Parts: sequence; C-alpha cells; structure tokens
Amino acid sequence: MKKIEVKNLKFAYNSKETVINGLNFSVEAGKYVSILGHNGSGKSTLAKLLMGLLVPGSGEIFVDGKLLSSETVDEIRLKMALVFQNPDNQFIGSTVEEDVAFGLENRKVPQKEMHDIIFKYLRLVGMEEFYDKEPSNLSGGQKQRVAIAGALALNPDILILDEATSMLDPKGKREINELINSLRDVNPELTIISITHDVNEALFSDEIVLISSGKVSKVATPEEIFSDEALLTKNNVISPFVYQIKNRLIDMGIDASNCKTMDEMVELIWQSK
Amino acid sequence: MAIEVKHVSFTYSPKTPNAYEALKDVSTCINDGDYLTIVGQTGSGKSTLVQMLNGLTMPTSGAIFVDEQDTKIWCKKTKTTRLLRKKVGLVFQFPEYQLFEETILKDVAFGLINYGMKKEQAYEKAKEYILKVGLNESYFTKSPFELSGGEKRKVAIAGILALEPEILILDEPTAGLDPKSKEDLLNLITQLHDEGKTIALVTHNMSIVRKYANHVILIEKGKAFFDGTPDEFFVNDEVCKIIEVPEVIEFARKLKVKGIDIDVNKATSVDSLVEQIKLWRAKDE
Amino acid sequence: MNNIVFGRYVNANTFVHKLDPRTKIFLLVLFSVGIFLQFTNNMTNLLMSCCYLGVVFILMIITRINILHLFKSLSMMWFMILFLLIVYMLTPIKEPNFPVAFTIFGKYIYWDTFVNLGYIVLRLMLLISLAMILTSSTRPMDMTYAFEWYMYPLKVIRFPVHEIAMTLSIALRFIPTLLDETNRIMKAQESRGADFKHGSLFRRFGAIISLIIPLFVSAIDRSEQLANAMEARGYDPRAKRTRYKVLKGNWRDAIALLIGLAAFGGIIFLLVYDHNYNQILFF
Repeated sequence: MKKIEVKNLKFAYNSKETVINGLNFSVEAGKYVSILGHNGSGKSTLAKLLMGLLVPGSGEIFVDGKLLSSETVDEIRLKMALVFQNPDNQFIGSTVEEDVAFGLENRKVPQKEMHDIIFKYLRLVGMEEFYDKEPSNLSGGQKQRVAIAGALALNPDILILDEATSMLDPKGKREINELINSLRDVNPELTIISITHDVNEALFSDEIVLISSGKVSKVATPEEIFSDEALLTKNNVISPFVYQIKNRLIDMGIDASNCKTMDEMVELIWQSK
Repeated sequence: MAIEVKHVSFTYSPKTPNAYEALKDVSTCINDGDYLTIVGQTGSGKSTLVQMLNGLTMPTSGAIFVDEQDTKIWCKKTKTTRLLRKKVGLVFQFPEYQLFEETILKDVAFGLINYGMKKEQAYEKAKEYILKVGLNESYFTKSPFELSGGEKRKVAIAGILALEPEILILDEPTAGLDPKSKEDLLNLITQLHDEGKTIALVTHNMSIVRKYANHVILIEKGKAFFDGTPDEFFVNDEVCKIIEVPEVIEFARKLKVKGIDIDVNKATSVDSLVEQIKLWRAKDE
Repeated sequence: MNNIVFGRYVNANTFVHKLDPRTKIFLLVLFSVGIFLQFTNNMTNLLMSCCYLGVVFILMIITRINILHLFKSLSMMWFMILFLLIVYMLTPIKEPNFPVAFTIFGKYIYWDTFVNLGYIVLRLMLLISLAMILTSSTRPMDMTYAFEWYMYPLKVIRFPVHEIAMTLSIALRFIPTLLDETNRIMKAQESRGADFKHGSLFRRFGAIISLIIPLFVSAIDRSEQLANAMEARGYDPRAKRTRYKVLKGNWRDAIALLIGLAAFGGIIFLLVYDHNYNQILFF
C-alpha cells in the first residue's frame, strides 16, 4: 500500500530559483526510505511540504490516498511527526518530560494518561533518567533523542527526519542512527522517511530516493545506488566506505558482492590468498 | 616555538553551585609551521582551550605563552591585545553567525579597519582574501545574508585571513558542511599551511587528523589524554577506544588483527589501503 | 555572562523549594505588605524590622542561599540610596524626634532624615531578599504557571492569558541559549578586533552593532524554526489544550499558609492596638 505519493511537485521560494522542480516518488507503508541529496538539492523544503508547513507551487501530495490540502492538513498531520535538524530550536518544553508532553497537550491527551506515555517513549529512546533535565544540560544527541520521543509519543504512522543528525558529533550521529534502526523492531508498521546527505545513514534504509537539483535522479535500494559509481559521481555523492572497498575488491577479483560489514570483507580478503 | 601552554586549568563559574572544571592541567607546545589538530568529545574543553590562545579567555591557573610572552601580559593594554589577536587569528565555530555588514566586502574589511587600517587599503586587502577563499568578484557587493551556508563560512574565514595572522586557529571549520564544501575548505587550509602559516584546528573528523595534521592533541574529560604525532595516535589502542576511528583506519586495524601485513599509518585513503592489500596478496609467504 | 548568579534558580530539595509557587507568591505579597506597614512608635518599628530580618535570615538558611548575597543587593542599590538621601535631605521635617545632626547652607538636617533613610533601605533590602528567595527556590517555569493561574480571571475580559504564559515560558526557555550565543558572537567579534570595553563611543557603537545584528538574525532564524516545530507538533494557540504539569498544593502549603496568615494577622492586631493610641500610618 502506498503511504505517501508525491506527484509532479514543484516549489519556489521566489521567482528566481525553483527549489523543487517536478518531484515524483512514492513511499510504501512500513518502509524506511532515505531521501538523499547534497546541500541545496531542496531536501529540507521537501520535509516542510510533506508536513504541510509549506504549500506547493504545483503538484500533489497524497497521504493514505488523501490529497494534502488546507482542508485535510489538520487530519493528515495527525498521522505524521517531524524531527528537525537543529536540536535546540525544536526543544519547546523547559525540561525533557515537559517537551515530550508538549505535543500530547496539543492533542488534548488527558492529564492522567500523559505520564505513562511520556515515560514509555523516554525509555524507548534511553532518556528516562534525564526526565527533569533542562535542555542546556543536554548534549545535541540527547536533545535529538528527546525530539524523537516527542514525535513518537504522538503515535504517528509516518516519522519524517529532516537532517536529524547533521548537527551532531560522530558519537551523537551513531546513537541516533542506532536508535532509528531499533525503532523498526519496536514498530514494524512505522513508515520512516529520512532526509539526509549522510550516505552512512542512508545505507540502512530499504530504499533511497536520490535527488539532485529538485528532481529525482533514481529510486533504488542502497545496494543498487552505491554500486553504481557513475550515478554517484554525476550526483556529487561519495559512496559509503564499505561500498568503496567492496567495489575495489570486486575489481581485484574478490567476489565481495554479498558482503555487508567490514568483518565479512576482512575474512574474505584473508581467505583470498 | 609559537605557543606554549603550561599547566592550564579552567573552571566555569568558579565558587558557585554550577562550577565546572573544563580543563585540568593541560600542557603542550605549538611549533611554527605545525598543522595541529585538537580532538575530543563535545564538551571536553577544546573550544575553551583555543579561546585562550588569543587571550579571549584567561586560564584559571597556569599560563599561555605566545612568542614567549604570557597572554595575561599581552592583554594588559588594548594595543598589545590587538597585536595578539592579529598574530593569532581565531575562526569560531559556525562563524557564519558573526556576519553583519551590508556587503561581503565591508564584512571582510571589518577586522582590518578595527585594527587601524585605512578604508581604501582595507577594501583592497578584503578583495584579495575574498578571491583567495574561492569566491569571485561578483560577491564583493552581495549581502552576506543571501549566501549559502558554505559560502557564508568562507566569507567569515576570509575576514580572519585578511588580518594575515601568523597562527590560524579554526574551531570545527567543517561542522555542518556538505562533503563538497568540506573538501574545498580543507584544501584552502592546506594551501595556507603550505604557504607557511601555523594551523591549529579543532575537529571531530579523524580523517582530517590522518590526512593533514603533523601534531594531534586529544582532550578527554578536560585532560590532555594524548599529545603526539598522528602516526603514534592511530596505533594507540587506548586512543582508538575513545575516538571515532576513520573507517579506513578501522578497516586497516581489523586486517592487521587478522594477521594481514598492513601498515595502519600508511592507510590514509581507500586507494592506499587497496594498494597495500594488493601488495600483501602478491607477496609469497 | 556566567556571573549572573544573583537570584537565579538553584536546584535543591528544601521545604521552600517544595512549596507550590502560588503559595510562595501569595506569601511574598503578604510579607511585602507587612514590611511596609508602619507603626507610630520608633521602637516598635525597629523591633518589627528586626523580626522581619530574622525571618528573612531563616528563610535564606532554609533555602541555602548565601547570606552574603543580601549585602550584595545593597551594593547594587547604592545609586538609589544616594538618590533617596538627597530627596530626604530636601524634605523638611516638621516635628523632629531626634536632634540636629549638622547644618548645610543654613538648613538644619536632623537625625530623623538618616533614621528614615535607614528604614527605607532596610525595607528595600528585605523586599529584594524576599524576591531573591522566591526566584532562587522556584523554577522559572513554575513561576509562569503560577502567574497564569493568578491571571486566570482576566480571561473573562478576553485577556490572552494563555498566549502570554506560553510566550513567557518560551522566552525563559531560550534565555540560556541566547546568552550563550551572545557570549560567542561577542568573542568572535573581539577576535576580529571589535572592542566592547575601550575606545571612543563611536568605536564601541560599531562593536555593539556587530553584536546586535547577528544576534537578531539568529533569533529570527530560531523563532521561525521554533514556530515550524510547534506547528508540526499540532500547536494551535486558539485551541484548547490539556496540561501535563498541574500545580498541586499539599500539607506543606497548608502549613506555610497557616503560619503566614497567622503572622500577618498578628501584625494587623498589633497595628490596630497601636492605632488605639495613635493613628495608622501607611507608608
């Protein structure tokens, strides 16, 4: 079933430059899809369009077969949650628990039920013991985990991550990526759309929508995309390390096409002599 | 010796309930012509350390000597403070947030004019450095606020470069940039280093340490956990437990553990690593 | 910027910290009224002031505030004290209770002037200390909740109580972030030779501009992102919302209110008793 369908979407902030120029793609329910492109490819604008925070110039967005419009936006938004790039500018509550509560308060969740929901999701993201901490005492990675808890607490069908790791240090990045992957085990029905320029993050998704100058270059599995060096060069994307090595090993005559991890490749190299 | 850091400690909000010791007894030297990288986790005190090097922050205890003179003495008079700030140029983290003039030219010239240069001369120099960071003439009259993130950062760096500091310090210059802008910027820094500038760079990116640096300091929990060359750095097991090792080095280390004859320090890129694997395979035991 | 400690919330788990912020605000108002009630007899006034001072000391010890802060508040008020001194010296005293201290330009200055000045300074000091006890024992956010509660009746006249409370709480949430940012931009501009402390007025003005513009740009940028984040999470200022944190009083508040009201009652009683002999003098 198609969860989201984007048809010929166009958007421009001003008459001079079109940021999104005829975008077409769809996302199946329960899939984890990365939208990969370098800076200035219109990725962040796309996140806001999907959430109905911006109105497209032309084209259509369907969520569960329903057209996103000013009449349906409130209803459709109930199905979606968005995590933004900047950890500081989406922390609304004064403490961790109050930030998670913010969305619940807006949804008019009864006060008695809130505590359990909040702590359920704080536990899920591993921030339970920090419940009474203020944002200034948290690292960027911790704030993003709180933002994810706040998004999940709204029980969305679709979780959109807009460059959620790009402002974090390597440790924070790794933690958030691990968390996102673990979410799929917790709730297999959750559709995840991750907008990113980080190839290592896109590596874990089911499908990659490669975009460049506001258009879709290719939709394929990470496997296919990262094995196609010509495509990557054309789109200014450097492939993940494991694929770089893999492609080299294949050139060398070592059949590494089924390898997914470094350890597998080390073993293969060892045996190849 | 350009800068000497002697037993430096620093405490935030001392004598209050919020007191926090960011640096504990850190000592090191930065030599002329060094390409130093300062690494460590967020909140480890790296930024505090670099802010001390041009006298913006004074150590709680210990001292910093720039050209054999204590920064406390440098900063006693406005005149000598300026000399110090001009000698040791510091580019802050996310420097694009410091831009404020109507045109890029004016913004780059801001520092020069502050340091007493005549306007005409300052604009000439500003032009030179805008071109140097890889922007063309059409940018001179643009407003800094209409640029992309990467371009803004270049402008901010040009503003410091125009002061022609002997030592250039950059606090996480590549944070938040896309791979292309990152590479451009690193090439620029390397070029400056080749031209004879001493570079000190705070970073999380260990590939920078591997590819460019000749000296690396790891700050862990406020202490200088490691101080030496990158070659010593990446073969140090204790260090590799703390840092995020670049994948190419991680892979090289794994190959070595397996018993494959690899020089971890020569694995600076995928190419050089693959060369080593080829050599190993071709060799007869 | 890290030096602003005076009156800032200090995390602790004392009796005063645990009180409902509404109770604390109510008692603060009651106490302040008490402080400014004046008795006719100087001795009584002095005695009462000593009592108040004692209570404030005890509260400061309970909330673990350094008593020295009290004197710091004095050094902050020196300009006001000077101003009051001049005003008091210019005000003629009709029935002096004390002898003449000295003459200035042929004008008699009685000791009364200094006694009155002493009283007013003492009272201001007490007020400042009370406010400090409130702010350092109450999270800013709890304070906004309490204010919202007190302002609730104003909703009848369509006063945007909720919007103001939300604005206030977000402002409070972003104060540390913006302070950090100010600090960083200042240092960044100092690296480019801006001088905030020395030089001509013109140069300093230039330095301030180099701080304010980036600060504004970033604040506007932040507010836009924040608005998006709030909207994405379903915030609608006009819609009804539920509440996660609900203020709830308990036995501590009952005790505090009882003591507070009893003490206030006592003061009023004394005042009425005093009134039988003289007249009540409100400040």
